[in-house]
Amino acid sequence: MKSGFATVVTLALAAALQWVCGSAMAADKGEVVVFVPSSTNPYIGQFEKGAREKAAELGYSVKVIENNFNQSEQDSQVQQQLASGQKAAGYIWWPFENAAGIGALRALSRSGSPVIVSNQFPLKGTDKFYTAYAGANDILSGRTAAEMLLKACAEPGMKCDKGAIIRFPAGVSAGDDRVTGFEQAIKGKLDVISVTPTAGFLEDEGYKVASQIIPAHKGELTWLYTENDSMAGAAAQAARENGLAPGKRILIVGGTCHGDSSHVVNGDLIGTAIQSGYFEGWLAVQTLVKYIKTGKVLPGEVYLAANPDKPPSDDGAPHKFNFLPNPAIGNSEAAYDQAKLWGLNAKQLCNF
Amino acid sequence: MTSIAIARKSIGRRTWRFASLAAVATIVIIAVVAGLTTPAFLTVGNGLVIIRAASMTGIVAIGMSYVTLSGNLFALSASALGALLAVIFALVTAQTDLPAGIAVVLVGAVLAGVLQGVAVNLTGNPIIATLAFGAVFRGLASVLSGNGVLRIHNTAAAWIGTARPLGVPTQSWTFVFLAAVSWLVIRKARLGRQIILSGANREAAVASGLRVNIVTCLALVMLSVGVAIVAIFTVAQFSEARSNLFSGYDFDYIAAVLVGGIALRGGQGTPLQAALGAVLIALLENFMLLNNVSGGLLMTVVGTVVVGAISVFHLLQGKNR
Amino acid sequence: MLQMRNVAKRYGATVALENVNLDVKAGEVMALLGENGAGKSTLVKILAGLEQPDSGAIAIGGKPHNIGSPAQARAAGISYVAQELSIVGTLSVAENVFLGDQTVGLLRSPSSLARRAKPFLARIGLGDIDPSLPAEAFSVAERQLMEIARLLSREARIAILDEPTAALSEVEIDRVKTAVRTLAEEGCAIIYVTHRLGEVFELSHRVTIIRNGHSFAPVATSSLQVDGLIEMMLGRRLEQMFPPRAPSVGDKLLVVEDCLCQGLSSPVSFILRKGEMLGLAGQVGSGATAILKVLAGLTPLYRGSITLDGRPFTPRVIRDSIKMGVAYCSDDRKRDGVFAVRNLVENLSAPVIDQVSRFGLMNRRAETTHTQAVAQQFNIDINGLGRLAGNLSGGNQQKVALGKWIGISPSLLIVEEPTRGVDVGARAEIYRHLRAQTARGLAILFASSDTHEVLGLADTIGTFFQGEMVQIGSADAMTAEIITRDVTHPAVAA
Ligand SMILES: Nc1ncnc2c1ncn2[C@@H]1O[C@H](COP(=O)(O)OP(=O)(O)OP(=O)(O)O)[C@@H](O)[C@H]1O
Ligand SMILES: [Mg+2]
Repeated sequence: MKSGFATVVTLALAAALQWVCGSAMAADKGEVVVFVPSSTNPYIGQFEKGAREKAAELGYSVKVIENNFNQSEQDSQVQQQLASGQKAAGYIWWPFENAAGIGALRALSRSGSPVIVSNQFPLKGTDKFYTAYAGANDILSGRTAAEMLLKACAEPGMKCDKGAIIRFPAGVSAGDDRVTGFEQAIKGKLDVISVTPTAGFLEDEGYKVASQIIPAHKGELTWLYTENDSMAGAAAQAARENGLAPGKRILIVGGTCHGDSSHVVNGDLIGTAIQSGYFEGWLAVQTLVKYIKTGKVLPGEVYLAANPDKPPSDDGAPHKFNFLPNPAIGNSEAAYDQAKLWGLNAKQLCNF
Repeated sequence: MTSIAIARKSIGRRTWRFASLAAVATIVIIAVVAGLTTPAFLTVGNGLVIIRAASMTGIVAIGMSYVTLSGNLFALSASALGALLAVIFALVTAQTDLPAGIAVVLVGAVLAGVLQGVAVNLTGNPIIATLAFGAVFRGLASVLSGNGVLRIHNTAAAWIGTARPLGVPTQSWTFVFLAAVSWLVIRKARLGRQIILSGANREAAVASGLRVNIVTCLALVMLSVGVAIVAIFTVAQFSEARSNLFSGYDFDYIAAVLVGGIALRGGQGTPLQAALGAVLIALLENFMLLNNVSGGLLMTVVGTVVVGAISVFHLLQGKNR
Repeated sequence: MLQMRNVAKRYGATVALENVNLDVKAGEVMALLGENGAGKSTLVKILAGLEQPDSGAIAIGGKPHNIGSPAQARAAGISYVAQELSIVGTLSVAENVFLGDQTVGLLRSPSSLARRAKPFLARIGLGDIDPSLPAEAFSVAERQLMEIARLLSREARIAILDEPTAALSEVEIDRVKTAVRTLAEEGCAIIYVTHRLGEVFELSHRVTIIRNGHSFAPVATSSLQVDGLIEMMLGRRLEQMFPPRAPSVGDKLLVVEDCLCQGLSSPVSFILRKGEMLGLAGQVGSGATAILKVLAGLTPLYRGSITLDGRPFTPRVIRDSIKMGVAYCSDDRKRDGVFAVRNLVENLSAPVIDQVSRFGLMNRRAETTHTQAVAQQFNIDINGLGRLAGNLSGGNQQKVALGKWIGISPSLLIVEEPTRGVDVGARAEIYRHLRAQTARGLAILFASSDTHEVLGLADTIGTFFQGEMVQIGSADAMTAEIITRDVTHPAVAA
């Protein structure tokens, strides 16, 4: 028994080590150190994949350091990395808790290597601590979702007025930003009855909240925004259980695609948008290498073009803020199959 | 205030009864207040909604209460085990069929319970032992799922996850059924008695010839089976599994046990209290949800209720040590 | 010094005290006597601030006093040794001595604390132990003495000792007596609760008896006789303390040959026959209980052989012994004797769960029948079986701890301190019940620190000193003097 237990632990540890230290080879141009929460989250898994593949393409090696969704753990990982004395080509910083991670970010910035912040939009006043931001723009994500919703509302026979927002847990900055973008875009056009936070990001949490909100406001709800498609799909289930046919009596949008397109293509959701973990990691590395090559950062922000086939060029200097596009996808099988971004299709990009 | 005064007098045997009564009384009070202030609250429909909202936490909390009652505090691995079992269920069901998926998950649950029981007995520290297992489970879930989303296309599974016999979700039926069974187990079954005695006084239980180590294992097995049921339901409902399912739920399970008034020291109470605790928390959450209370406040309130519950019950139990 | 007037206290439906008065003068030892459950501990807990009376008045030094908490009791100059041990095993001896004493910060260095604890420990005969060791390293008796050292460190005006000697043997009891006498001479008022009547006559100036919730007016000890005292306590005459010895004994049951184990310095051998009671006398650490622990499966046998009913008997865990029909009742009922938070039915049926259940379900009827039968044999109130064991008085808990073992119908019953904290009346009953069991063939092996108990109860007596068996022989050939000599300094006799 005892040794059986030990074996399991050893195996698991071995597996864990392999993720953390994997691919630490072929360091010709240098090593990019990537700090992320845990790849047990599929989106982050995609992020790592994108970062690795882009780095390999550009001739860098990658070291990924994961924490277990724990900022103090991530902080001490930064300390250890800096104390090791190894010079990194650059750092990619995805803090678990944006505000709490500022100290570690500052420490990284003092190492002399460039620091690209990704996924968590930097807080005000931290400009000096990073080279550039490259990643998703959650305000944009919220706006895209709102625009899709407004378009669906404009269809003949649709009545849209009051609706509800189910959002990420309190304190998740992506959740704040998406609500902000969404509310800005619907201002004066739609009414928000309630903004309810969940305790998580997945189907079960979305269902738990939606199954309580929907019956309470059954007569008045005409639309729901849920910040991601996992929760939107679950909300569609809850709506149907309450006799509200999604797409007909209630319009539901999440606005960030994920692997299960069934709710999109069957019309439960009014559509979705590509929010690609793969390209977020990819873009972070590209931005870093662009800076290494040019030594320059252009001021201001840039929304990279959502070209279906061609990714943005590796040449030139990055901006201070480099935003990933969020192209919308319609809710038909054909639209979904044809949707592409930067040469990859929705099926590949939404696989998390 | 009055309730504390009453509590001080009602000692002894009545303590656990009082504890479950307290849970029921609180439920009634909240229901009345909420009903008066929030029209949507006091409807049969919303009642069913609350039971459904409580069901997933409640089923695990019932299992957790066996661990607590047996004197082993808590297993901090429940959420991670849930993710692992969900991943296994999705993998096996996708490869073969539903019965095989269920069977493998149940076997896995029993195995996980026994392994953890052995570790708890060896280390003598349930918290640390299960914390370590939690990391292992989460890691295995991650490896097995390749950090991706595992989808199943199985109509029977979808039925289990979404059917509503007599208009009530399968999850709610199962929750109510398990709550009733758990009460019988503790009050009527030999195992229940062994769990209670082991928790009431471990040394005396050993001295009386009880196999306390085995009892610990069985309590953890029952918890694991509860976790397995929840994992199956969740995967079945959404037809998918991933390794980060149930992250951070351990607090919810423990909160339900504590709010139900089960003695931390073990040996006093019934799993029914944990079930009531889960309903109570769901009730509070529902009330605040309908009134659009912010998430931060929601967590604060639930946290406060937990602290309040522990303090009150601690006072009570201090009285009849 | 201290007056309590018309004190009443009830616990739910149980009336513990109905109308009790108590007067204690400075420099006096007041013995507080009464049956198990009479309410003695309840009364002194009220003084110690641990319980609040429902009604009644307390005056100290002529002034009315309200004792709302243990801290207030200490402030009023009251210090208290509880009936159940309150030593914290993980703390050092010195920390235990000063536990709860605000004037001595626990932040002090361990060595200075140890130095300060030394004199108090020395006064109670623990001068040669290391006060910085954890308390759990010591026996029940030594821990009991630590409690008294704690009391001595408090410089109290009023000292309360609730059955301080229940776990102690003669020599240690003498130390307690000396300490109590000194305290009284220093002008302290002392309330002394005990079931050992010998101490009452040696130590106390006056006696207050509580019966059925009422107190009797205090009586000067010098005007009392043992029989009269017992009659006042019980409300009836006690016919005989000890039942007659076994007229004859049966076949060999337990043969212990040349056995060495932890706690013994030289091997022991003895034979126990069916229907026989073998009593082992010895002080703490004498090895009298060592072989008991081996037979219970608690400690390993180093050397030698044991057979039970002709078959080799080497239990490795308690369960093994139970399965072989050997029951063991330790001397620490709080630790492993009772389930305080469970009711008496569950306590009494704990060792026989398998017998009173079928197909994995408890058979309530069988369980009730079983527990009622056991309760009857040990004079436990059948109507009170639903009460929590922890709410019983100390003596009644002892009956539960011991009585549950009769339920497994053992062939051999092993007991450490069979009547610890049990009142005279109930003690006579327990003796009678045990004797009735031996008449049916049960063999009993017990160890006791009470010389009179060993002498009165056992058929055969073994005496122990410093890890060696001094002698073993028929009780008829023994006297209290011989036993006392054997267990204190046998060399003088040799
Ligand atoms: N916490 C409690 N709850 C209910 N009943 C209690 C409680 N504590 C004591 N009792 C009851 O009060 C009565 C008096 O108990 P107490 O402990 O004072 O007896 P005692 O005289 O000290 O007996 P003993 O000699 O056995 O120690 C008993 O009937 C006991 O069962
Ligand atoms: Mg007492």
